[in-house]
Amino acid sequence: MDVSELKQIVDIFIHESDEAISQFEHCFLALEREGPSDVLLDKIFRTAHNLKGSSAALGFSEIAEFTHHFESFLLSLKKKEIPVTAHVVSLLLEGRDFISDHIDSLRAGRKSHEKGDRLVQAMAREKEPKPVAQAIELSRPPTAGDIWFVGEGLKAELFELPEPTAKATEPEVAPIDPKMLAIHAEIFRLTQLAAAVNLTTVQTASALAEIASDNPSHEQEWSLEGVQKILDAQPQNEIAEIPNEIAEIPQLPSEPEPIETNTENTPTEAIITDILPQTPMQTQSDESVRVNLARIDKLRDYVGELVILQSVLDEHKAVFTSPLLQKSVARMSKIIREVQELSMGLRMVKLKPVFRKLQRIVHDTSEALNKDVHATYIGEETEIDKTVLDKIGDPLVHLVRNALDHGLETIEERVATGKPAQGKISINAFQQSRAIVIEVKDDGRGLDSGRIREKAIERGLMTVLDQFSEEKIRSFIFHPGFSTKAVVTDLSGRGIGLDAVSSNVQSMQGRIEIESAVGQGTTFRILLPLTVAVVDGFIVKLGEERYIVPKAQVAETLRPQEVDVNLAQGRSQLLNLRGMTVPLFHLATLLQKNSHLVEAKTTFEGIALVVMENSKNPFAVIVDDVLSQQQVVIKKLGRELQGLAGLSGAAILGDGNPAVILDLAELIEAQRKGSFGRPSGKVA
Amino acid sequence: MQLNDRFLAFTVAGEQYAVALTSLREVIGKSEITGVPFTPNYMRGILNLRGQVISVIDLRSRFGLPPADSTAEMSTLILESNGDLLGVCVDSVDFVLHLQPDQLESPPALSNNALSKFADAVARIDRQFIVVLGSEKLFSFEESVVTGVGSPSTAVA
Repeated sequence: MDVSELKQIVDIFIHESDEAISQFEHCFLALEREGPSDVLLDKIFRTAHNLKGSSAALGFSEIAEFTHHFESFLLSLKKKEIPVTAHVVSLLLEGRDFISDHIDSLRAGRKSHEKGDRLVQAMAREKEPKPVAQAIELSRPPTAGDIWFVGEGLKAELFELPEPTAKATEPEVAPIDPKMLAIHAEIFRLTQLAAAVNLTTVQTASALAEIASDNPSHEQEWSLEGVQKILDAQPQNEIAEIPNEIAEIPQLPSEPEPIETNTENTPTEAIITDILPQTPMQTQSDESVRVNLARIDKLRDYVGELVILQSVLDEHKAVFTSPLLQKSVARMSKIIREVQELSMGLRMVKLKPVFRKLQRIVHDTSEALNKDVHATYIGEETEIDKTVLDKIGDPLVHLVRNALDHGLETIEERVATGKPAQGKISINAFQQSRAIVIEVKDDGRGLDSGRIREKAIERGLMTVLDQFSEEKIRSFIFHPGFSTKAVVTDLSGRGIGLDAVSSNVQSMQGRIEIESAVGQGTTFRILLPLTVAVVDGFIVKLGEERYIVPKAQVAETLRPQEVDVNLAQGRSQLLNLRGMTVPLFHLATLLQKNSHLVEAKTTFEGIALVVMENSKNPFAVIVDDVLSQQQVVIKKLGRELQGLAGLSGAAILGDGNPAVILDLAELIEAQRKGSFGRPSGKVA
Repeated sequence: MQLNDRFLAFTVAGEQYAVALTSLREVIGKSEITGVPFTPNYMRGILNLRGQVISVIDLRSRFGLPPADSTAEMSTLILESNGDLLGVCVDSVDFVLHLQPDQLESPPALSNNALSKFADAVARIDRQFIVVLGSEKLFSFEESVVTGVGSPSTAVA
């Protein structure tokens, strides 16, 4: 095996582990939320088991050893030897973090030698306080001939009641030795298994039970190994022969076998592997292939080219005299359009990973803040552009923390105001026409717009005379440096501010809405475009050049009449728009086309694009012409061209030439800052 | 013969230069380039390379030389560095050179400051000097090419 092959295998391992880790997290949190269930524990156990196998196979002994202990711990949970408490869930989460750290090191090309001894010990401690004795209840002391089953609620039930004897009805006086009970429990477990395998083994097991119950004084001689020995004495083929019934047992206990064991040769293991694909958890995961995003983008690039070539062919198909050729071109157009649509969809991924991260954040943060929080998550299946998915995590984490920390009151405060002690937070994602909406909703104290207003006046963001809408006032909390601490709560903030959230969302061409009522809660609503890869744009002309203006930025286009345009102080142009006066800029000025200097005047050849910019600061921009309106695929500009204010990317137009995509609001902003004090329309 | 011994020789403003073939992705003929606002004049703009948008610089202006009239021989070299692509406009593409390491000398202080920033080595061939340009050096821009609004360097003719 050469190095690249090995690397590929390690890469696959890392990918698989990532999935396992996120699976863990999801399941652990579900465990805490919904309580333990067989399905859930089976799923966790299986995930840990697979991880152990693959890490051992690749020689990552630290991970393998740790997952071995982890698996044993999980098995104890599965066998209900350890009750699932909040502490146990925290331990599990820590275990997940430990594995995740190892994988991160691998990803960075290092191999961590951290063994996680502390965690292993912590997990072992959970097992110590005689959980078995407490975990399994017996309706009566076991007697010879009994076959016990551990059923629902950890109650051991008799499989086959022997004739009632006087001994059985006698009240039990002597306390049951926990160690003996442990042996019994093990026997019951084996009995359960044995019952499904064949009767001989059942009899062996009940024989064991007999010996165990009849000789309480000899308990020293008994150990699980001893039990195993008796079982081993049974002919192996009897166990291996009847695997079909085993599949019908819903919960198949399996001892974590040592790492060195070749799992393929153990019949039980083979059976488990056989069952796996039939279990519901497995069938749920859809069939998919992991593809590098760069390859998808490349595919999209080529498909884009194909579309352009196709349109050239379409335009010139009149020259083809052969009807067959014409027909073929027409059919090809159709297919290429479908391929294009498909290739666009390839970038769409589910929100699930972000939701899982949020569940963890809610768990950790509410614990740290000592708040009782009930969280609901809806819409993790919602699909979103991969690029957006990668960027939306941080803003959402911030909003969720914000809601938990600043939004929700403390338990005492809630009780004092007559609210239920448990706070509610819900995170919802859904598609609404051409946008993806993600809401972070809490039932906390709400935003006090009065105080925000005071603060805004204090900071000079508005004057006492300004009559702003509630919405506009609330939006001040996104202002850089606007201290939420003084406005919303007395708790200290956590790192980055809401302004970072806002700019982050804006960079994805999205926006944020806030809904809030004092005392009732706050909803932050992030609206994102369905995909950032495609934009609906106006192709505008300026001299011989073409630019693209995203349609979403433009409220309307119009041809200004002379009467509509006024000059302010002889140079700034103002456009009268149905009674509203908005500043008017010429695109050439904004783009600093010195050759294209436009004097301030009231007559124009050209079309004005009116930008409402969330109806706050509307303005209009004059271009020579609007050539067309079309969907274009956004291409990133090279690294050397990034960060240019007002240019958000490029796209390839129908004739194969690229054009720059403009952000008009950003251009205006740059112009305001850059040419301050200079006559507008003439930039040095 | 190893690939990294070979270089592509080309002409800019009457002088011969070379780049290592290992950093050369391809050479394309004259193609349509779209100008980008707010960039210094050596940044010719962007072009479409089979669906990918690539920035193109003009070597003459990059070396601080006046622009030339467009000719049929003008070509664009597509250079690759760490996965990034950059188009470089040259006056003509000449030939492929084979240079042994001992034929390469470290570049002397060149009179042209702008040029010496990009030179990796100098090769002497029959009394003639060929400046070997460092591909990565062509990719490095003064921070970024952003000149910002209001800065005087935008002179789009």
